[in-house]
Amino acid sequence: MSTLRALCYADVRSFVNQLREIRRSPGRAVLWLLFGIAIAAMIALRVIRGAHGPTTLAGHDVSYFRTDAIACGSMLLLGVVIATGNRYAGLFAHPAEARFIIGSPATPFVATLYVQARQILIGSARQAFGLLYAALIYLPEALPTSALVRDIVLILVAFILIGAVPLARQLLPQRFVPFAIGAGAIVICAAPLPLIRDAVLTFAPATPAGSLLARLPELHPGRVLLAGAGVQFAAIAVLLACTAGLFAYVARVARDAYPELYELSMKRIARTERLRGGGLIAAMQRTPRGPARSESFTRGAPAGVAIFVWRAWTEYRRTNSVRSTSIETALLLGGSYVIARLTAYGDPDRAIALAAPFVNIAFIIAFMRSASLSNELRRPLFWLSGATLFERLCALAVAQGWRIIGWCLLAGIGLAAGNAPAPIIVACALAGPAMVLLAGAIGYASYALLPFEVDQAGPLRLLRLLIGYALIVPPIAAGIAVAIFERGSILALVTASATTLLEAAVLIGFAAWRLDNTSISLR
Amino acid sequence: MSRALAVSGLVKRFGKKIAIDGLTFEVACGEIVALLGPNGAGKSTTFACLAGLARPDAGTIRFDGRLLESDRGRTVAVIPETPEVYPLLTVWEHLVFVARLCRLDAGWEERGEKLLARFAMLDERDTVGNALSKGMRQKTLIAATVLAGTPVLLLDEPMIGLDPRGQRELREMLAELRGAGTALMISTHQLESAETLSDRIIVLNAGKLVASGTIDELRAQRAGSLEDIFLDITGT
Repeated sequence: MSTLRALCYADVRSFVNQLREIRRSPGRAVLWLLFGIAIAAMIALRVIRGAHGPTTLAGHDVSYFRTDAIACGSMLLLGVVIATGNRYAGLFAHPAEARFIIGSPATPFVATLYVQARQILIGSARQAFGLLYAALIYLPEALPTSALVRDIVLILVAFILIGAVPLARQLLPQRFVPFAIGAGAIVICAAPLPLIRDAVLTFAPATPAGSLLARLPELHPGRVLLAGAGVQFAAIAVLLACTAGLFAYVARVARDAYPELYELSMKRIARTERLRGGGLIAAMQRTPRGPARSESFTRGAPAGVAIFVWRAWTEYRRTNSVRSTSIETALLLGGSYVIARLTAYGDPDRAIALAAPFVNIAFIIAFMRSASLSNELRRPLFWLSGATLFERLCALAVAQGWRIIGWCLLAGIGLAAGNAPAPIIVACALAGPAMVLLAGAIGYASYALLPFEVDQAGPLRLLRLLIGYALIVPPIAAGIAVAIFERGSILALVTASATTLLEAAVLIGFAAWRLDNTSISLR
Repeated sequence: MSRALAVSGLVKRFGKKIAIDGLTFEVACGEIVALLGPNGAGKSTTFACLAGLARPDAGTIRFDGRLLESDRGRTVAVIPETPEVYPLLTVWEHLVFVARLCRLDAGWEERGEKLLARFAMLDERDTVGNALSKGMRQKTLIAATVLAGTPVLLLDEPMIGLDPRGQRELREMLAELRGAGTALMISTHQLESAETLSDRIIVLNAGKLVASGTIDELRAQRAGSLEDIFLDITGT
C-alpha cells in the first residue's frame, strides 16, 4: 500500500503545484478565471434555454442525423480500436514512474488498477471539455437540461470505454487476436450503415444502391441520446460494466506483462513528444518499425527555410508506404467524386444543410488544436542559418499542414471530376488550404502567448476557438463585398482565401515577434 | 584582439531571480574558453543568451564589432547538453537539412562524409534519429553543427555521452576548429576536460563572473589543482 500512497502523493502534489504555478502569475490566473466564467456562462445559457423549452422532445421535428452521427462515429472508433488496438496505448506516465512501479512491492493487480483509473480520469477530464463544447453546440437545442447532462455523461462513459479497449487489446494472447480483428471489422462495417442508408435514400433513392439499402431496417442508434432517463441509465451502466471488465482484465494480466506495458508506454510517451511539436500531421505519423535504417533522401532538397517542408515530406515518406498513400489518394478522389455525383441528384440546399455541421466540427477541431512549438524550438538545428523567425515559422506552418492541404487539393480534383459546381471546387482547393494555414497560425500565436501545456489545453483552447471564428468574419466580408461589386463567386472566394492567408501571416508575425521578445524558446 | 565575440554587461532575470548579473568577457577567434561554475551559476542561461534563445534584460553581445541581432544563427551555433535530433531523419539527412538551410556551397557533401568518418558514423549514415544512442545523437548534432561552419560555436557538456574514441575525435576537432579561427566556448563540469581543452577559463557563480584567466594565471592566484581552485573560488 505504501507504493500506492506514494503514487497518490506524487499525483496530488503535482496537481497542487500546478495550481500554485498558475496562481503565481496574475496573467494566467486571470485567464483561467475568465475561462471558468465563460464556460459557466455557456452552461447557464444552455440551461436557461432548456428550461424555457419543452420538457420532452415529443412533437418536435428531431433530426436523427446529428445524434446518429455521434453514435455511429463512436461505434466506428470502437471498431477501429478493437480491430487494430492502439500502438500508443500506454499505462505509465513517464519512464521513472514505470521503473518505480515495476520495482515496488505493490501487487501488479492493484498498481495497474490505480494507474489505469488515473489515466482514465485525466483523459476523461481532458475529453470532457471537448465533449462539453460539442454537446452544447451539436446536440438538438430542444433537449431539456437533464437530458443534456445525461447525454454528456453517456458520451463521456462511451469514450472511457473506447479508451480502455486498446490496452486490453494489446495484451490479448496472440491466438485471440484474429477474433478481435474480425469483431472489430464487423463493427467498422456495420457502424456507418445507418448514416449511409439515410444519405443514399435522401439523395439517390432511385439508384441501385438506394433500392438495395432501402431493404435494410430503419435504424437510428442515435436515439439513445434522445431516449428517456431509464434507457440512458441502463446504457451508462452497461458501458461502465464493460469498462470495469477491461480494467480487471488488464490488471490481472499485468503481473506477467510489465515489459509489454513498459514498451507500450514508452511508445506513447515518444508519440506525445512528437504531438507536442508537430501538430495534426505528427499525430498521424507512426514510429518506424523494425530496423531503423532507411535510404537517405537527398534529391530535391530545397535551399533556405523551404527545407522544413522537405523535412516533413521525408518524414512522411519514412512512415507511410506507397500502398497507404495510394489508398489515401484513391479514397479522397473517389469519395469526393461520389459526393459530387450524389449531391447532383438531390436538393443542393439540403446537402449544404447536412454538410454545414460537419464543416463546423472541422473548424472546431482545427481551431481548438494547440500547435506547440517547443519540439522545434529546443532543437539546435532549427536556429542555424540567418533566416528570420517569421520565415522559419511560415515554412513550418506549410510543413505541418501540407498533408491536409494535399487532401483539400485532391478532394477538389475529385469534386471537379464529379462535375461539382465551380465555387465548391474552388472553396475546397483554395479556401480549404488557406483555412489550414490560418488554423496553424492561430496555434502558433496562442503558443507564443502562453506556452504552458495546461493553459493550452484549458483557456487558450477556448480563446483559439473564439479567435478562429472571429477571423473567419473578415474573409467572408471581403468575399461578399467582391461578390456584390464584381458579381463573381470565384473571384469572391479567391479574395476570401487571400484575406485568410493575410490573417495567417499577421498571426505568424505576432508569434515570431513574441517569441523573439521573450524567452519562450527556453521552456 | 581583431575578431572576437564580445559580451558586455549581460543581465538576464527570470522574474525576481537574477540568472546572469553584469557578465562581461571576450572570446577571440581561434580561442577555446571553458565556462565553469556550480549548478545554477548561469552557464546555460549565458549560452541561451549568446545563441539568441533568451533575450537579455541588459547588455550587448557583439561579434567582430557588429551587434548580434535576430539573424545570429549565421554567426553562433549551440550544441546543447541534451542532443535533440529529428527522430525521423537519418544521420545523413541531418547534414542535408543543415547544408540546405544554411545554403552551404558545393563541396559540403565531401566535408560531411569526412565528419561522419571522423566520428566513426559512416555505418550509421542511413540510421534514423529515433534509433540512435545518446552518444550517436550527440555526434550527429556535432557533425551537423560543425558542417554549418559558424564562426562561434558553443558546446554545453560536449563530452557527456561520447565514447572514448568520440571524445578524442571531438578534442582533435575542437583543436582544428580553433586553428581555423573559430571562437569556441565550452560549458562543462568536467574540470579535467576544461584544463586540457581550453586556452582560458571563466568561472561563474550566482550569475557573476568570479574568476577569469589561463590555468597558469588562476594557479598563480591560488594553489592546488583546478578542482581545489574551483571549489575555493565558488565556495561550493
